[in-house]
Amino acid sequence: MIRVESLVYGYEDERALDGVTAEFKEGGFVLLLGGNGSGKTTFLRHLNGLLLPDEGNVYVDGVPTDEDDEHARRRVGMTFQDAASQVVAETVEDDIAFGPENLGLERDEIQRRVDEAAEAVGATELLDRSPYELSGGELRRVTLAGVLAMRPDVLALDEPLAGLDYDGERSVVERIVEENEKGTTVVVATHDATPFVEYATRAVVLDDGRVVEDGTPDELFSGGVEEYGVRTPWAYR
Amino acid sequence: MKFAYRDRDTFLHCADARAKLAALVAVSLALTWASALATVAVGGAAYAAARSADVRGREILHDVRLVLLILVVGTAARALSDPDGVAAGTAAGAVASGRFVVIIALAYVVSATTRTGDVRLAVEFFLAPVPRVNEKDWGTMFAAAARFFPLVFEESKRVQEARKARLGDKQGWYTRIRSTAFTLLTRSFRRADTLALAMESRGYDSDRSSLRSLEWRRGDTALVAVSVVIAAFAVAF
Repeated sequence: MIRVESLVYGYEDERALDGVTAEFKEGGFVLLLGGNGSGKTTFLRHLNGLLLPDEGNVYVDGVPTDEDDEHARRRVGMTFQDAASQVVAETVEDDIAFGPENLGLERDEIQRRVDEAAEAVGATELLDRSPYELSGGELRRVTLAGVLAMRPDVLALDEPLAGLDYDGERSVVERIVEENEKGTTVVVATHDATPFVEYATRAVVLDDGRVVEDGTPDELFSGGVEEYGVRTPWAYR
Repeated sequence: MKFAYRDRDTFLHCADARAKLAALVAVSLALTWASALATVAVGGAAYAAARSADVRGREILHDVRLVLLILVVGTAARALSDPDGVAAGTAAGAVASGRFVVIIALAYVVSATTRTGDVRLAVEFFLAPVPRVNEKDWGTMFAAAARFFPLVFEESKRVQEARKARLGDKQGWYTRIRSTAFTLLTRSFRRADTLALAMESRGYDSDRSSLRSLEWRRGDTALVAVSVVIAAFAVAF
């Protein structure tokens, strides 16, 4: 579904990604782990076509993102680490509708998708509210709904639990797992695997823009990954 | 949030965005010819419009206090430099500033009662007949500007709070304004960049459909008619 080959990307004269190769198969639940500055966010932005490779290639359904980045944006839904910065409209309903509007759908279909996505994340009651009035957990769920309304095949989620309390974390994790169970591929970038580790089928560790570990959570965490700035989940301590 | 849409159920909230924009343009243009008396009268009408939309006059004055300060300085400069003397200069400067205040108040009411998505549709409607103008691009530009304006105010509030938290309000006014302006400018650019990224990540396309549609009702005709009468009054007196 997504193939990344020898991806190199730099900000000015600093390399953020240095020859990353990885593959994400349909229906998988992949943890993208690494400390601050390891290249996780830059990598996720390549999956969504927001960034294009300096060298190497990213293929979404076999289509290179540097030839058709719009295809990547339609197929890979991405949420940002800072949920508030992802909001583009004044009400939750308008914000969720933003993606379907960009797909050029008819009004009835947009409304249907907004209602479905809001229901999927438990945000139906929030539709008329301003996104700026929401709690951290509610805002996370709303940004997830904004992406789900586009019906992507892949969810690329950047630190989806940042700043949430336990209830907020649990509620967001449940929604993500539900989407994965429906067949959506999930790629979660995080420095703390604990809330996701029981659902993950694979974990990839980035360090200094390179893939340093790639395997099942059991393989990775039994060996320890803390040297890469990643917290070992409780279950493996 | 300042200059931002707030969800209510008043007449102006339900009015068609085209009617509100047409009224705003008509009255604003007429105000450029208005006398002092007519400006005060139109100001009264603007206040009535604000109250009917559940927006307080005091709230507008508070939110635009920096603009008011600039207008006061402008009036003082005019008073001191007018060849007909200080009294004539003060009077002319006060009338000019008064016109600005009324226009800003009206724009505030329109932005508080109109979703940016509706602004986009209204601009597209007005520009559609204009040859060689891409009305979709212009509509998006206006909507993005309307969306970005409250975000800048929000950033300004955050910068001021961050400064206050570390006793920044104890500094002299020049240092305060200089450092706040620089930080605000930097953060505003960054915010604009993030907003653009958020739109792009969800496949932004200017040629998009819309969840909402504009619906012209009898009340909208009445709103435009009343605005034309006010504009004619402002020009005539």
